[in-house]
Amino acid sequence: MGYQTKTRITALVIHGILICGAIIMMIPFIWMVLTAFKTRGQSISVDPFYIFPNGSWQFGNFSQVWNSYNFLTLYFNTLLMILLRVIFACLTATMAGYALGRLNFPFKRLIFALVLIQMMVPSQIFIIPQYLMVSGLGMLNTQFALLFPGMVTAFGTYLLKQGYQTLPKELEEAAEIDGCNIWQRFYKIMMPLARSSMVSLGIFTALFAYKDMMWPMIVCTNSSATTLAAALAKLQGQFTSNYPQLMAGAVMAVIPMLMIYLFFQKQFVEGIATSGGKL
Amino acid sequence: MKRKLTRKQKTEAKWGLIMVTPTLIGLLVLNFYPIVQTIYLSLCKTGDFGIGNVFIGFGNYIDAFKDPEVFQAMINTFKYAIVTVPIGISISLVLAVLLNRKMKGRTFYRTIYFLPMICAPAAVAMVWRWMYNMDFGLINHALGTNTGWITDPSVAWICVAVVGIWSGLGYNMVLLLGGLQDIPKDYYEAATIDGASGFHTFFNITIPMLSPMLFFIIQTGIIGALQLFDLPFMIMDTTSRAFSSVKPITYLFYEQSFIYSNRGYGAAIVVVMLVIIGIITFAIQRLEKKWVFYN
Amino acid sequence: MKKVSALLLSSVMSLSLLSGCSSSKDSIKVAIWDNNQLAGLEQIADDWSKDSGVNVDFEVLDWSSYWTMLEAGVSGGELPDVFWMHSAYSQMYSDAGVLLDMNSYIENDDAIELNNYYPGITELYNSNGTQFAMPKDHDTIAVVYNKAVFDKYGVSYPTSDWTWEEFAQISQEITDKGKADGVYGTYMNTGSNQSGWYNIVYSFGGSIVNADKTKSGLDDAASLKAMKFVADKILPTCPSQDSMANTGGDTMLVSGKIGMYLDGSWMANAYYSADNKDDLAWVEIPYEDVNGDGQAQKEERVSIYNGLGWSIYKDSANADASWSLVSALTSKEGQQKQSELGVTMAAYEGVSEAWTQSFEGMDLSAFSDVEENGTLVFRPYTKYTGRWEDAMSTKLISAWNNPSTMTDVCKQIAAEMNATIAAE
Repeated sequence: MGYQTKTRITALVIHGILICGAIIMMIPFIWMVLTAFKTRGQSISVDPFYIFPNGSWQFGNFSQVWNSYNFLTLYFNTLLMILLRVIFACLTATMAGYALGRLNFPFKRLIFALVLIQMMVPSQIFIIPQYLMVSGLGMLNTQFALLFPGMVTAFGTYLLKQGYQTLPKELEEAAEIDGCNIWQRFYKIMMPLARSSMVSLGIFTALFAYKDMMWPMIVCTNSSATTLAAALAKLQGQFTSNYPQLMAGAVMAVIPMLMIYLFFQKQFVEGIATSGGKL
Repeated sequence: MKRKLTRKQKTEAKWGLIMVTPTLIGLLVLNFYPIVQTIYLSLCKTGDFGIGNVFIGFGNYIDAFKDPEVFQAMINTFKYAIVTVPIGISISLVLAVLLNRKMKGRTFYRTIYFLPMICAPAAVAMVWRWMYNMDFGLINHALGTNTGWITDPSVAWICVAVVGIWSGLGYNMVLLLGGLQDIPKDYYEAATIDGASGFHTFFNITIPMLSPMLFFIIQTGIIGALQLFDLPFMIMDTTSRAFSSVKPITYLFYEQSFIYSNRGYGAAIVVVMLVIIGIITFAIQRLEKKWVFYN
Repeated sequence: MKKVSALLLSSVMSLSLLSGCSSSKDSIKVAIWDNNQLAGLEQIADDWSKDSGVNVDFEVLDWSSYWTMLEAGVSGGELPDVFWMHSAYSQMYSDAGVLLDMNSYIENDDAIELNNYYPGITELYNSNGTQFAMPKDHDTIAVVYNKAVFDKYGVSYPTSDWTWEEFAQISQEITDKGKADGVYGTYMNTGSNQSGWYNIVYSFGGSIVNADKTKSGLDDAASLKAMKFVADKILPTCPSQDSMANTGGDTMLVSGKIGMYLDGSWMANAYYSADNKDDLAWVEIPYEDVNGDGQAQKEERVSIYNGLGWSIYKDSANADASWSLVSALTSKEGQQKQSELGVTMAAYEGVSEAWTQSFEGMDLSAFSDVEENGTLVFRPYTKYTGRWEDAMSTKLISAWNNPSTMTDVCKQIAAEMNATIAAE
């Protein structure tokens, strides 16, 4: 067997595995999209493979959901919240991560323990105390309220600490010999190198912010100040289970996230892949 | 044995403290104050809305240790973590390694595997619940079975774990991909020149170089799994026979604190859980030195 | 690149400041949890705004966020001006002293006379003589059946003159004839309490909680007899408990998997919006011929009922205007409108007829007829209803899967309930 056939077979096997996996990953998602185009009756039809008998796609579900909420405002609020949380998380976590991963200073172990403890506590215990802080500041129903719990991130600090620890020592030592002080070493050399960890952090912060439902619902009760996830939850109402409309809402909420993800994936993840090779 | 710090060490300490301060202040205000409050509440018989709390010492803890529901919920939570963490991480590691190469359709695959991450959790749970449905569900129809996926206690917990793994794959995969891309390419080039096999390179270069990220994922994965909250509740009805065998400890805390307004008892449950997670976390942290390769 | 990000950041900052302006003083914040009722309630509130010049902002939250928001609000001293109250939480909120004492307002308001409302609801929202919420609506229970299923198996439609025994017979008949298709007569899960077996327990003369709310009634002889009836006659004609835990009864009924189902008036809208709504019809809840005279006495036909209340925040800056709004919503006229708009049945007695006719093509008089020829029993509650009610439906799962153990399980539940209630 020649080298070429061997690589070709390997590639085929890999594609086979990936495609099978992709199909499994996709099924629930396809199901969600298809349900969004069904009537209520069809959605609870006995035969789940019963799909659009007369080619009648129910676009009405989308327009009904679109009309019941001001989606443009929701998109705007959600994007703004995501942007603010990402900026804050990256700024604070990159500094703290560098310090914890690369520098020696008093109480370092204690501070890192605090970071870990924060991660161990279920976030439900923070909701009411944090609500009281925001309401005490008179900031309910504002963007500040949406940002508030995301101003610092234990998860991100830990993530970036690990990221900085992966980087080779030699670069920093070389910079030190060149006369760079700690801040310069961090800002000019190490931070750009930890970019991929920061992109990961950005993506996850964005995702967690986007998925956060309870917090926006409680601090931003005005429908003009709330976010997509919170509006989706409201859509559920108490007594109804109108699957097609819920799925239509879910699809509409996913679309902007999908675009952001595709954008990031192209701009950053692959950009790093090529620049990383130059090291 | 107190050594005087050199000037260099002093500057380093100064910068370290400056850089960690914003995060530290945020954590203290946003998170530690509530944690301390919770610990205090766990020692109280609480009135509604936190009014009229009476300090009772360890009464809530004694009740919690006697409560078979707490014990069962602990077991449920650990079972979930033991199954989802290793399986989820292994699959995502394989995916990340497969995708970390120049190949056709890479962006496509990545996007697909990442899709569950960008769906609202309520929608994810709803779709799965519907697919697992005994009479109308896709799975029973496709397989021609009549299994109560979310009511039979022997399979229900696996079905919950499947959803957990499914929704977490993309998350682990992206982190691992990021880690893989931070590995300098010349290491691989050197290995290729030395004639090392793919298998060899994977275990001698990829795994050690990836170990900080891998460790991070294991650590956060375990913590995340132990904090499993409302996934079982969203996938199955509370009248399911299987519900008591999947109900996680965090949900029990939420139920006591917010639904039954028994905040002191809920706080005690959460503190017990915190101690257990803490022990595990610090045990893992100790192992870090042994396992993890830092450059 | 740097410029762009700086620009972005500054614009973000200025925008976030803009969105920080709070709502004007001349508006009342109202919080509710049911999206279905929003349109109708807004219409009533709009009419009120025209007269008063005060705007009303409605907020709809889902059930669990609603109560978390209120709970956080009590601790933080900031609640919506006007909000819904429910039997599961009402005692807690009234004990916490955050709800406006409405007594003096009621006295001075000619449009409000408490005797005109269903007594169970008025009493629920009254604590030691203090009225802390105005009755908003009430709901009752009836049987919805799928005509297509009855036609298919040649079973004649039920009429209001039927006993629980006859209900079980019809259910058995459909189950027998539908065996091949996997179709069952009816559906009753452990959690189908208010719209399920509670009704049977009370029509047999039993109870869930005794009259002074100090003890469980589930171990009374009549209650046990009712539960034995459920186990022996109803459950064999239902889908398996597993199947019921997978799918709600409403879905099963609409899709033709079961023939009939007990459900509450709050679900009428959901059935009305079904594609096959013409197949669905309502009939009055059956009675239990306790005294054996072959006729339905009032006390033999029982529907459990419940009702929400309108509460006002004690420290609301707009307490007077808030009362005026609540008064507009709960006066005879407001209740009539709520009923005509198809929002819900009224809490005001005698104006719910309009609601039963507000869904064109679907007759809902089964919900109001039971008030004429039956008895309404208020949904059983104590201070912490949730604590025993959840435990009850969990405990019953084993009895549902093993109907012969029903009596023993009920006795166990009663013992546990007594302990829970004693701890209140």
